Amino acid sequence: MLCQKCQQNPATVFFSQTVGNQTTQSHLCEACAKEETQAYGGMNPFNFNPFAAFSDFLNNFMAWDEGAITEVNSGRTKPATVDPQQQCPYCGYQLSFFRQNGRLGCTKCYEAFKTTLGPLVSSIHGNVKHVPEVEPPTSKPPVEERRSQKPEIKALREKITQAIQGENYEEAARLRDEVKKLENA
Amino acid sequence: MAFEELLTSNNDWFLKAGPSCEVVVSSRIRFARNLADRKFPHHANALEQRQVVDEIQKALSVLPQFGQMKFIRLNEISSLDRQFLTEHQLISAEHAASLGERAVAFDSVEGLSFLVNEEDHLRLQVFRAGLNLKEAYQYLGQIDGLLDAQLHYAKDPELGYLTACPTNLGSAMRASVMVHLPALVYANRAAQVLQGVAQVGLTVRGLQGETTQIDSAFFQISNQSSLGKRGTEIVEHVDRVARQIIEVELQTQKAVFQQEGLKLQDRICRALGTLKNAKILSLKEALDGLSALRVGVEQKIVKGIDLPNFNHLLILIQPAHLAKIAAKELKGDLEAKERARILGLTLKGVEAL
Repeated sequence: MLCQKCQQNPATVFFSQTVGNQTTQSHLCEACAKEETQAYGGMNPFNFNPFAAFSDFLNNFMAWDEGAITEVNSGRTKPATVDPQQQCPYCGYQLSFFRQNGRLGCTKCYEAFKTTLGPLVSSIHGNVKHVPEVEPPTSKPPVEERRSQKPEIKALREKITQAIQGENYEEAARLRDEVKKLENA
Repeated sequence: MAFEELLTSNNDWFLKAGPSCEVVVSSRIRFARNLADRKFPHHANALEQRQVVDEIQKALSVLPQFGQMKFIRLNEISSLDRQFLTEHQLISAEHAASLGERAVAFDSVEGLSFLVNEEDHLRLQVFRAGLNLKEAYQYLGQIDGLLDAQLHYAKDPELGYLTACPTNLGSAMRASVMVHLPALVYANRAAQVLQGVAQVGLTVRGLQGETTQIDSAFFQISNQSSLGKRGTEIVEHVDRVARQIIEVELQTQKAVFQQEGLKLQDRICRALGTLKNAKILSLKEALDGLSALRVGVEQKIVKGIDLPNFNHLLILIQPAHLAKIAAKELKGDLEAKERARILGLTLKGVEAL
């Protein structure tokens, strides 16, 4: 008897599942039975994959992207060889891999594939820039408030705001550390 | 087999009664972080992966929590143990299933865990019982600050924290709550309410990860994007929406009990009867029964069990936990039999009024 699921391997496992008063029974191969058991056991209310829907989205986006390219090239298909612009010089990852699995190769791929990723990022998140938390959340806000009244800390905080407005994040981080030092003193 | 002590621990986070726990089962904050100029885990070779594991292990050792934490290399434990850790909320299903050099460090009492070489180099997460996102965010933020001083995180001024998948850029965080909405499901209003939630930029998922299908009364609600928003804003947004959902669910509960009290009481009592007396119970049937019973406790129709016990039961009736309790692999009906035995035993003193 062949496995009732894949119809390929011999059925070696008798699989019976009871839900309420309904029992379903099937003859499966070992691989399919394992799959069934996992699907059955995967029903844990705490376990959700918040990132699952992305591959669908990416496929749609990339389909649109490919469509646009085809239109420009008046129907010609793209060459199969790797364009150096389609490969990250730092880690060797290819843009085509990203189209398949939605993941990049390394942190520098963001720079390497900027022209493709720019519009993609905007369509996922909207046309926005990162807003840092500036100060890490603290468990003692009242103490923080009292301390920040010190004039030297106040002045430093103003400098931090200026640094952030000027997008000088390294300087802002350095100043933040200085504030921390003063507060802990 | 390992981790038996997690079965008997009686001070884990899910055993506490959290704020609004009548509707919100748990809150979770998760950050995704990567080390600068490194290959993401799926593209790195074993040696590169191991270097990341070692580096993160070293950084974790500066944390004040490290003393009570366990650090485990996942390729050194069995697949049953990995499934057990997944069910116990300490690693993700993806982390349990993936290959290569990966690790987890956790403190189960705090519901705190560090997933090394999952999709990103480091994912840190913390759970709280009930609706408690703000406290969870502050707690995890402090830990993240300490790690930031040890590790060279990949950050970009415009894109924020750089992640393997571009959906997670920005503050690179997910704030999520698991809610139990039995009355809305019963009154056929859940789809409408959850659609509204999706319209304000949050993601809703059902028990099986499906958005469209309502297959139980448990739903997870989380933020979609974290680019362009401060972490505290994201937390406030999810918290605000959760509070609205709580209100609608409780109003609906009141209304359906006024209209169809007897029918609902009957349902709850039947569920109690089944859970206490059945000889074999599938996971789906057990979850549905516990969902009904939970309403019974909220409505004071059922006594002898409190809400945090439900959180514990939701975890205990999962396959790897049952195998761990039975101290052997459970094949076929044996798992359903063990589930029925555990529920019968736990609910012994629980009575309907």
